[in-house]
Amino acid sequence: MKKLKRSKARIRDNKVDHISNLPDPILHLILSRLHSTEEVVRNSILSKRWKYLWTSVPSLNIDFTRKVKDAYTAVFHRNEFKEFVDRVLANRTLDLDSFTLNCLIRYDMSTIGHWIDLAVMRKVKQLDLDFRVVMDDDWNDIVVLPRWLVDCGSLEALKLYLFQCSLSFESFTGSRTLKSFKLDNVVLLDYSTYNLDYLDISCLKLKSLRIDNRGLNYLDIVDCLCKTLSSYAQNLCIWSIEEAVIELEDLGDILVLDDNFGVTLRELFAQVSHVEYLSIHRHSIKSIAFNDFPEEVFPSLPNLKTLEIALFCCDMDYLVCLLKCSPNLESLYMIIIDAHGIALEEMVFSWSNKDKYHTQSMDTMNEVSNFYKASLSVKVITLLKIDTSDSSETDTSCSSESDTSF
Amino acid sequence: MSTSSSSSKKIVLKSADNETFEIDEIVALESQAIKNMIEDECADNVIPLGNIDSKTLSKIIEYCKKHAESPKKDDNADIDEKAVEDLKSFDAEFAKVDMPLIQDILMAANFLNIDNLIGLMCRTIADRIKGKTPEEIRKILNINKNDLLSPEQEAKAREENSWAFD
Repeated sequence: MKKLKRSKARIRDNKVDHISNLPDPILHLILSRLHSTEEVVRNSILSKRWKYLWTSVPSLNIDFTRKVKDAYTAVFHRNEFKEFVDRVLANRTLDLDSFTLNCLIRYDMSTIGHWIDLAVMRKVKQLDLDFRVVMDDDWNDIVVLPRWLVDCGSLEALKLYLFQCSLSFESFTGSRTLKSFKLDNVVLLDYSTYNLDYLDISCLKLKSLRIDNRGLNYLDIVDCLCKTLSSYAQNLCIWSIEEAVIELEDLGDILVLDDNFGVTLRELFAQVSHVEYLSIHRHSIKSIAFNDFPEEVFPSLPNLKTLEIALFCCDMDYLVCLLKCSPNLESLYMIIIDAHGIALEEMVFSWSNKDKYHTQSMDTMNEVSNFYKASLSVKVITLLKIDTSDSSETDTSCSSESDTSF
Repeated sequence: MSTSSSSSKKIVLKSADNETFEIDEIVALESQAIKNMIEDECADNVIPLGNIDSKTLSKIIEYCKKHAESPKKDDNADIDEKAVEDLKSFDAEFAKVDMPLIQDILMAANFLNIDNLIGLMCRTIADRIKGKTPEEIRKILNINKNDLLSPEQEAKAREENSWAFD
């Protein structure tokens, strides 16, 4: 016991280096909490004990822009940076949890490919790359990621920021391990058709795909904004900036009742709330509203002009909710899926201003009636919303009723 | 495992300076090392911890008590968000101690195998050395002066990884 007290006294005398006596994994934990690989590497000169610790930190985060921010002086650091990335990745035996790389200047694809190769050899699980590629020819080159990245059997999450380069999707099909895939500023372009009508990335375990390429301006190409897909439905949706179509194919009731699926859809729905055109099926609406009151889950749809909706008669409260969220709606296409049993008794329309109501509501209602032929008499209630922030109250006070016979 | 039945059982820990601490078994089970000892039935009534002093040990018991009381994430999917916040602010307060004590706690947590506490101490140390120069970090961590690199070795290391250094 005396001995222990003595050793403790020595610690307080600054003679025993307490922290350096800890095992490597603990020191790796400390190092991996630091901002960047650059900072971790700087700690190699702390002491002999720390000299090689950085080589086995399981996460790498290298960012060109932390040191050099402007592109003019960046070129002078091209080789220095390349050597650093090479050194950090090479000759290590430990597996990598994550590798994050942000390059400010362009490197050729063979250099990038080599880095990916080194990361794959270290069984990287999470890869986050932000790079620009030197193109031989501006028009023909697209980024084709090495096939071994898809086949490596370790990659779970991939995030790419390609600075408006285009990416070949073919190189992505078939990963057995990829769970999350995020694309940012990547041109989504099928070079055979100069179009992106359909996006097919079939990866067995893919749970989340996010594509964000706002800010890209395609000229004569269909302007596509693809946000979130889930593994449940690879043909679930195609988003474009002004148009959103939600299609659910081959989905049984089990999926509709799945809470996670509802959350995914809800997220997806929120992300496209700026659309002008929306086509939606009751399956989607019901999934979004799963377990919650529909009026609380639908986002506001400020730009929505055209709504196409397929419903059962008993789903009208969903329609009401959607209409309440859409102050600028100009036309509504409604498809009643089953008309047997209960006859439709009420239709509720909500308009944001008087002018639109007078000029457009009747036309729209007549159009709606074309989709609904089962009932001879439908009471149509039109609601004129004066104050959208307090819609529930104004709804009732300003409602005017009219019986319209179809 | 229900809290009420096991909470009656007591465990006594004895620090390096012979102070004894009687705690509920459930609190002691936060330490994987003690848990293993109890499971292997090689723990007597009193567990001697010859390399942990009483100041450090009482800190560790304070931590384990709090964490044993809080609902575990894997026990119940919808745990109270307030409880999570409460635990977070407890951890933040707990870590507000000087570096020698942090290092003592980290050593002891590593010996006792208390994962959460190891993580908390590592995060705390990382936060305190973030953005600091090597000279400052040597002082903060009390790095052994006899273990320093020679000036030549340091110059070589700086040159090899010149990107990382300014």
